[in-house]
Amino acid sequence: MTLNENLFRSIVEAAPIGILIQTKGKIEYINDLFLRWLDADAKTIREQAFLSIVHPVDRNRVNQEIESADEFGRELPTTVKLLTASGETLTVDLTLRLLRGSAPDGRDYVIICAINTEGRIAEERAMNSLREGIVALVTRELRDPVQIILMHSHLLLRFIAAGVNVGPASSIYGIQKSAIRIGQISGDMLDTFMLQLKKVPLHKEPINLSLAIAGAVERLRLQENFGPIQIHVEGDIPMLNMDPVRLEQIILNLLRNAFQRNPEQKGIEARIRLSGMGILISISDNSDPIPAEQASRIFDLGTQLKAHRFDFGLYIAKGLIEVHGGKIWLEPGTDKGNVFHVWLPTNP
Amino acid sequence: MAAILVVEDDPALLEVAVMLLRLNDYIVTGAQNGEAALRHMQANTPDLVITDIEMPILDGPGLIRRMPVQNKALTTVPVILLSGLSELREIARKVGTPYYLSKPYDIDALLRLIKKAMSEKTPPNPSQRKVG
Repeated sequence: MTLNENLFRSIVEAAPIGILIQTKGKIEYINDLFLRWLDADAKTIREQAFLSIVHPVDRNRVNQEIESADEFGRELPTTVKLLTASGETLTVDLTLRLLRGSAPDGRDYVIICAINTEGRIAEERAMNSLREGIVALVTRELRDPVQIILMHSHLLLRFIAAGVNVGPASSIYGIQKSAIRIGQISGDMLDTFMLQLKKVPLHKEPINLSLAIAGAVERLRLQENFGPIQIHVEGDIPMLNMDPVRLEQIILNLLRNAFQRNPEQKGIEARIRLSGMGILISISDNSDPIPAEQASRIFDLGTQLKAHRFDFGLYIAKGLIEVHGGKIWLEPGTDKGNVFHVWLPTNP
Repeated sequence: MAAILVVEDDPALLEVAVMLLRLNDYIVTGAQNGEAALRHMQANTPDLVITDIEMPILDGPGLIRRMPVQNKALTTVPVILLSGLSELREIARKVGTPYYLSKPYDIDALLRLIKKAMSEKTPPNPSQRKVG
């Protein structure tokens, strides 16, 4: 190795860009940064062609670009899907700098530089990991209600085969409850993805908050058998300009959360009052204080995923409140239990 | 008639599983977690235990580990694992039971597996890690 080659290597190793050199169809050199992006080790990757780490959907196009590279090189800004060693697909913005030339040893080289992609890759990887976590949790969560439907259907068929015209009502009720649960799980998954992508469609219109709460309570009663709810409205509450379906969903998720914390069905309380330029809704769960370490991360999706819990209700409620310009916070351990406060602007 | 103990934390699933197995002429008892199952087995030795894996208080693998500690008679009881976990096969291998089914499963498949477990009577054995 000559002094010049050493100098060259130290420069490219420190460069904030991914650098890959291909000779006669095989990767001859790849710098550490590019390796990190691909989650690969240098030895394995050097046995491959650059095109083998390009996703098949982009392979022909990138191959044509490489083939058309001339002696003087040119910059090719493009978006390319790459395959990492673990099989992930990463869509990244690359600037390929292609140079076809002859080195002193007489071989042809293609130099590929990937510029300013690390942040995007990290974001993409985090999103992929989140999606995988959600899909895995949802898939698992769906299995119990599907199993219940299968078992009740089997029971009903047994009754029909035995000449009994009406099967047990508990089977029909069980199928209905499981179907509702499946709908709720798939809806929560979709909402979680939409919130992650910041693409929640909203259809705002003037809406009466009391009607939204009444609607949420009615839906909750249809789905589950919960304890009493006391609703206190202080003063004249103006109309809100919100998506009515989403407002009902926010209330429903908060009420369900309060009841789930209160298995003895001691009854929960919702208090509505004016606060500044908006309305404050405070829902008290009348149950034991939420420990401080849980309280600080209660709206966090990552915490739920790490704990393998499919309980995205509070995360979704927070996301929907924020897209309407509002905010939510928790006041744990009051004399009325844990209080979830929601502030919504009257004119968002 | 054979006695089966079903351990499942989802009350709706437990209820329908108990109903179904009773219709198939088994004597069935339900428990909502491993602790409740162990309490039942203090005075009763079932012919078969069917258990979920993830449960509060005491999970399925914990239950299987504690069965022979609690009662020597339980060392001969076969156990079927039912779960939606992707690691089901690996968990079955670890606890040493050859009987497991992934949720959602066909009811007839469960009934066939119950018959197989009842006739073979292979109890969990963590040292024998071959599973079918």
